[in-house]
Amino acid sequence: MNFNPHPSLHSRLFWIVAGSSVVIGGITLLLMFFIAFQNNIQENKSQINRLMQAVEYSAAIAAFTGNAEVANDVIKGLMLDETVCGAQLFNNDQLHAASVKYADTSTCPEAILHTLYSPFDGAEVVGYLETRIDISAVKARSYRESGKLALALIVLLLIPNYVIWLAVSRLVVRPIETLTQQLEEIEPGSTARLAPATTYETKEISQLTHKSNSLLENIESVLVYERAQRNEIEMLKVLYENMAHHDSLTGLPNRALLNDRLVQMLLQAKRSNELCALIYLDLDKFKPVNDTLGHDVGDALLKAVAERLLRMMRKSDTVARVGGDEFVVILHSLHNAQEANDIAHKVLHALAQPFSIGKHTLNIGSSLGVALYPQHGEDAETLSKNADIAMYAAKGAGRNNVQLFKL
Amino acid sequence: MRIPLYFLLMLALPPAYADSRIAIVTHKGGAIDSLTRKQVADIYMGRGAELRKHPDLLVLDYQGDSKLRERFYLALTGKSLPQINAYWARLAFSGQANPPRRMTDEAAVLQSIKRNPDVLGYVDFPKVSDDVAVALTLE
Repeated sequence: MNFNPHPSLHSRLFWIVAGSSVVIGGITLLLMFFIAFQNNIQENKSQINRLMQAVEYSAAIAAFTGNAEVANDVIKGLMLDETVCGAQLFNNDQLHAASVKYADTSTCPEAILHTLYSPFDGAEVVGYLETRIDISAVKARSYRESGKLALALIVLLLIPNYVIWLAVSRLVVRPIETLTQQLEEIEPGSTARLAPATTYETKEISQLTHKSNSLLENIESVLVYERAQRNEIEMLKVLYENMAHHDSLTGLPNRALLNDRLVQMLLQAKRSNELCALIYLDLDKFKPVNDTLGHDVGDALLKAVAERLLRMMRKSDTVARVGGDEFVVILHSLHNAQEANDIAHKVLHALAQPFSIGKHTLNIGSSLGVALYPQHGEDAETLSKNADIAMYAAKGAGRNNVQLFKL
Repeated sequence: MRIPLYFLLMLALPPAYADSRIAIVTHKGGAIDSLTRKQVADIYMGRGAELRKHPDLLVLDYQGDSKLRERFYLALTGKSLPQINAYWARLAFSGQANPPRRMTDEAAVLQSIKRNPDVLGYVDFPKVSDDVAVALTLE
């Protein structure tokens, strides 16, 4: 598969699922910590209060008698609680028993003070018992409690999230991957189609497959149509190119192509010192045929003339139709002037034979003018002009003859 | 109207058991002149601040849980004997407790008071003799 910079649905989904679990866990941690902390502070105060009440009698005795041992026992007992930061027991005489968890007493600002009354006279104050709460220990406990809860929640969330992740990968990711792989292998315009999912087929995936197949169908028909069009265009191109350079009736080269060929031939002849000839040919009695028997017969006659001319010439010679009943022949690689003259006479003879067109037998003749290269001109223009002059000379000489251009 | 003889006798003779007063006694002409009820309570219950005022004072009590002792503490502190005993038991562990010395009977207490100048004890009020001083009377 091609490299794609985007993360896969799998991995993106994984991070969303895992991330949301962790975020929810984190929010729970914070929220639960806040609640737990408030709760724990309250609970801790009442717990310490209860603890102080439990030792209050002993503390009162210690304060009453001034007994430091008992006082220290009371303090030690209080200090056993992890949330007690410090405790002190004193009376207004000499007793002062105290214990602190941290050297810096300012870390525990929350204090609970209990007044101690005489065990024998409930109205007489004999001393005080003060306990300081270790907020950091309460915090730590709150963190532990909320942490456990958050962790449990994360685990609980991960299970359904994992199931969702699994379901999406089975129901969405894998079918899409399968479709992608199939699409990759399908040649545009081919008859291949996407196979429907074999397992976990869903409405959406099925629709995607179906629509993709419709698209493939469309692409195929468009491509087939386009291919046909392209072929037609190619054909037309050849046809029109041909039409531009050829006479549509006889299929012979027209004047444009003739001039082109003449120029080419003259260049070639100049290079290899060849002798060439240009024959202008005009049908003598074509116009009456056309006028009396109609264009159809005239056209058929012209075709027959063209065929007869082509049959006589070498493949490399050019026979062109340049006007209504005007033809031009280019002869190249001639041995001498006589050869050109011989060929012209052969043509004259051939065209003097009757043509059988439909039920008509037509006798036409022709007048031919021959110009030789290099004697009668070295360029196409001169040569053409001179061949034309020679042809008119032939017409002037009573038609049905060959005239060589005379300087 | 005839009045029964025993009734007349009851009225004529002040019955010994009827006098529930307790005398806090000390040496005649001794260190202590008179004491308040609170002072006596503080001394008997071992209050440090009070005891320091009488550094050489010997405080006397009785062995066993006699009626006198029960009445004394009830009158002085409002506590029962088991409560008083528990109180001392609690302090006994400290090793610093300073409970009163326990004498066998009132005669021994009076004897000790007569002999020593700085002693405090208590007896039933009728047992008070002229050779001891009464610091306080508990009703």
